[in-house]
Amino acid sequence: MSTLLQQLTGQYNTIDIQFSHLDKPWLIFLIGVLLVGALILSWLSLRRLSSHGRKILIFSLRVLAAMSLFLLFLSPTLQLQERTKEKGELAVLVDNSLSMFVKGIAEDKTRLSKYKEYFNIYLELWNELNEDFRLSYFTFSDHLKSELANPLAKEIVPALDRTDFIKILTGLQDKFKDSPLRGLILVTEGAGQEDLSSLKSLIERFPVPIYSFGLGKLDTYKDLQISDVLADEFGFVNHPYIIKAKIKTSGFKGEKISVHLKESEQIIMAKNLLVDKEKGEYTLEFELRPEKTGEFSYIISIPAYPQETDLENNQRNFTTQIVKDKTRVLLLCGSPTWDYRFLRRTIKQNPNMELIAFTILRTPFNVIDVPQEELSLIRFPADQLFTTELKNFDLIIFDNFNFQPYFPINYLENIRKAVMEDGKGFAMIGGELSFLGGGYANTPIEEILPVQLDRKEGNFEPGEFPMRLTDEGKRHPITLLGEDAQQTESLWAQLPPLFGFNLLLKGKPTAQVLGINPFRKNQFGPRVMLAVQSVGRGRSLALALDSSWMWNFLMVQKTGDNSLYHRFWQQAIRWLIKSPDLRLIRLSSDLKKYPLGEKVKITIKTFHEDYSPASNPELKLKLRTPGNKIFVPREVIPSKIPGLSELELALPELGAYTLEAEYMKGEKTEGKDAITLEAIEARPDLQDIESNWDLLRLMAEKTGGKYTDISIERGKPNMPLNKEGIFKIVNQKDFPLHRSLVPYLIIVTLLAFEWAIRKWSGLP
Amino acid sequence: MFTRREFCKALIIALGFAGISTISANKASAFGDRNHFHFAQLKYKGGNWNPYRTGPEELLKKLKRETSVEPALKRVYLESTDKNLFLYPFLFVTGREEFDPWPEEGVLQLRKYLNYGGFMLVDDAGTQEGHGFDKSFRREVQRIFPNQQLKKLSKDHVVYQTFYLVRSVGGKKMVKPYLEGIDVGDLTPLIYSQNDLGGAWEKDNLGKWVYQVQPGGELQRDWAFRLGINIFMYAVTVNYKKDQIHIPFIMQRKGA
Repeated sequence: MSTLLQQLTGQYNTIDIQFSHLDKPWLIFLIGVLLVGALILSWLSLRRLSSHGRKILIFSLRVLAAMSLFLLFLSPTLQLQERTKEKGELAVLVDNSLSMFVKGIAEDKTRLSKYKEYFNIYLELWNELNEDFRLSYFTFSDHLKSELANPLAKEIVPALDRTDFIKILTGLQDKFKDSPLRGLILVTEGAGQEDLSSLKSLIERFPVPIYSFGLGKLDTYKDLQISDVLADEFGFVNHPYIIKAKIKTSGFKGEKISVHLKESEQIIMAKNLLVDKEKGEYTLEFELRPEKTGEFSYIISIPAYPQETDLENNQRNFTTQIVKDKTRVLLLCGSPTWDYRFLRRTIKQNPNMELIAFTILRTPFNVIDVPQEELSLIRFPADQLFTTELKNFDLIIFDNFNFQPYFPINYLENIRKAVMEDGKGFAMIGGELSFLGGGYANTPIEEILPVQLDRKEGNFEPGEFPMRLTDEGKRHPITLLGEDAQQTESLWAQLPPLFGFNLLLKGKPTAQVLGINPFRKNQFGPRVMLAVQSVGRGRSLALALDSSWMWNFLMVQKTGDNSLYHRFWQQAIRWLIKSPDLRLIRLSSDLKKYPLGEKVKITIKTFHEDYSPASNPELKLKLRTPGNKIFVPREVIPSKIPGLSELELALPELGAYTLEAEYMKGEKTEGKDAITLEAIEARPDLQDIESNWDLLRLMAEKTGGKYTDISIERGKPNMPLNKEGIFKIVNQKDFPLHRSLVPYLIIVTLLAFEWAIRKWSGLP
Repeated sequence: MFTRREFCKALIIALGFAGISTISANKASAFGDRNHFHFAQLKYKGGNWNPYRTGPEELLKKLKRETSVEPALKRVYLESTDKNLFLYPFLFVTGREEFDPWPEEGVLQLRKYLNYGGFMLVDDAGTQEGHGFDKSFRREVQRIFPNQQLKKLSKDHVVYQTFYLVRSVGGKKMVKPYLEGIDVGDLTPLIYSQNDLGGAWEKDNLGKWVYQVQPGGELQRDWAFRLGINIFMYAVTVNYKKDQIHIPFIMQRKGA
């Protein structure tokens, strides 16, 4: 038929007819029902006709006319098509990642060359496949690269990227979405794939069979690999820090392997591993107990063993941050108050803080008529706290606490030393028993406080007032409650006013005054409400009020939100204990690991003591290399943003580097920071060279293909494939019949005949 | 010599100043001692919201004498919708009879109050389980905490050891030998006594106890005061006595 048509038309070999309105079946049904109804009525109207033959004839003509009308309603279009048959596509993928160029033990043959040897035996395979399919050749690692010729028949260059089957199979489907892909020939050892679970679900949906090939016993190599290191990003001082090293072995059965943990190229711990399998995976655990805080860089490594295929994967670097354990806060409260209640809850709710609190529930002036055994009160352990235990606290808070009835003044000297010499934090919260009222004038406590006490005007004054921030307060990390100074000021303005405050003379010259009482002044200006200072190695804070709890409870009433109160106190405590994130110099890099040769960008932020940005800082920089050499980077470039500088570094060798920065003001060190960076091998594929035949087997099984172990099955590869091509329409001409006169003429003719016979039969 | 008119003028002015300074002083002292312990009591419609004239003040005097707490010795009266409610984190609720439902706005405010740091001591002066004040109060607790029920406080609840080691729970009567409460997290911001604590604390103008305490007599009255002090201490110090440092001492004294 098609040949005839082609001969007649000279071009087209297929006829097709298309109809419209097929997307509206309800309409077609309706028209059909109407026509059938009309035909029934029409048949009934022919009852009078005695001649059965004429009845049939008239009715038949009517039926034909109705059918023609119905067909016309469907707007038929006659299509003449020129169609060609095309072959199906077959993709040949050859893995050219570095792991395919690994050589076996005591031989010069790579994995790829072993595959080539196998396929070269069956060169006619490709010709046979060419007859039924259009072959497309690709090399791949983490992307597909089209090749003009069969990669198995020529030299190919190794790719440095890691194999990624997910990207490859997805890319392949995209490439052939408009073409009939019939199958995939996959030449790879299956190594290096991460995220196997996503790959498995992709394989299950892959639409064509995969024919995969494995080297099996032909794949011989000896290798020891540190495949992974599991260690927390953070550890705590004086707490066990566990490092788990995962080791993959191949070809070392029966041997004892030494595994080292190093810090700056020094071996700090070594463990032995007895390999009991031909191919295996093992986990070794190392336990450290760090004694210092800071960022530390470690290496897990295995020495090179003879005949090892790859030595690059014998070590892994990692860094960790060792931080202080929980912040230990000592809170002494002279009398149970709401301020104590809300502050205690705030500190207790922070899992990073451990609170030791003592509240004086009974003073020497209280009278109780019951025996001691009926009270839950304990003796205030002042001796213990301010001698042997003091060193264990990071922060001491006196909250409305008068020390005089409870311990001698020389314990205050211990606190002063703890702050100035040991770097502890001290805070005094106001109330009638604080500052002058607590007897702290002319004591070591007054020496470390950021304020001078007012000996003339008295201690505590009632009255309602709001605390307003100074300019320093708008940017200090303690009082910075918003994103910037403006938002901070706006948030503070929302806080409710407070009641009652301690009369302080003024802030000390070395202090920052953060909050003031705008309604009360003395000769030095508005009364100081909140002041801080660095004193010796430590820090101190004075808050001259005892009703900060209102910033919590009254804000709940006003807005339902007490987070500003919590944030204020958390920030105050973090500043007092010199939390690392509040340093005056902070280093950061865009990445932690850099491929060898890539430039490293370091950002340096510096602040003045009041946390305003410090531009053009004086910096001392030191870069420590993996070989423990010291270099001094010099090219710090100030940025347009105040307080920000930038530095670019080159890391010339593999391994971990530490960049240390010291921020100087004259002779004084304002702050220090350090950052660890790592230069890694720019050959991620060689980090995992172990073949994965199971994966290749799975790919074949799930897609209806076949896996061939070429070390066992040496015959010609058997690949049953769907050879069916597809037809493509190359040319087409349409004839819309509903636009032609012919169907209308046919209908009119039929109806005319019907009329004529009806009249001849004597019917109206 | 002053004329009568001038004298009256001067007197009025003097009285005016005196009044202003008194008000200012009151305001100053009221505001200035904001961190002191204020005993706020809830006013509500219906029932009898203030059955005792002196009881709570007697407790406050004892609190001042025996502990380091500095209470204000006069009560403050507030309604549940009062905008000053949150200035007083301690709220006392008592009564004898059934009362009208609290306004919805007040219920919402009390819920926020108790969830975010406020404390409520409730004392049934009617001592009629299931009737009167008890019936109405349980209804209101359901509105404030729709997903919770009043629960018996366990014997080792910290309220029994915040100051005294309380071994007996009673008031003017011993309707229930335990306290009930509602927990929010690890705290109990609402504590309910059905034993009429206020009745045990109440004195007349001559300083004599108004009511006999049954069945335990004066010893039971003593426990009622101790319990009252403990409850106040709990409101301010919360779980302080559950801190590790106190536990060995408390266990030892309890004879554990």
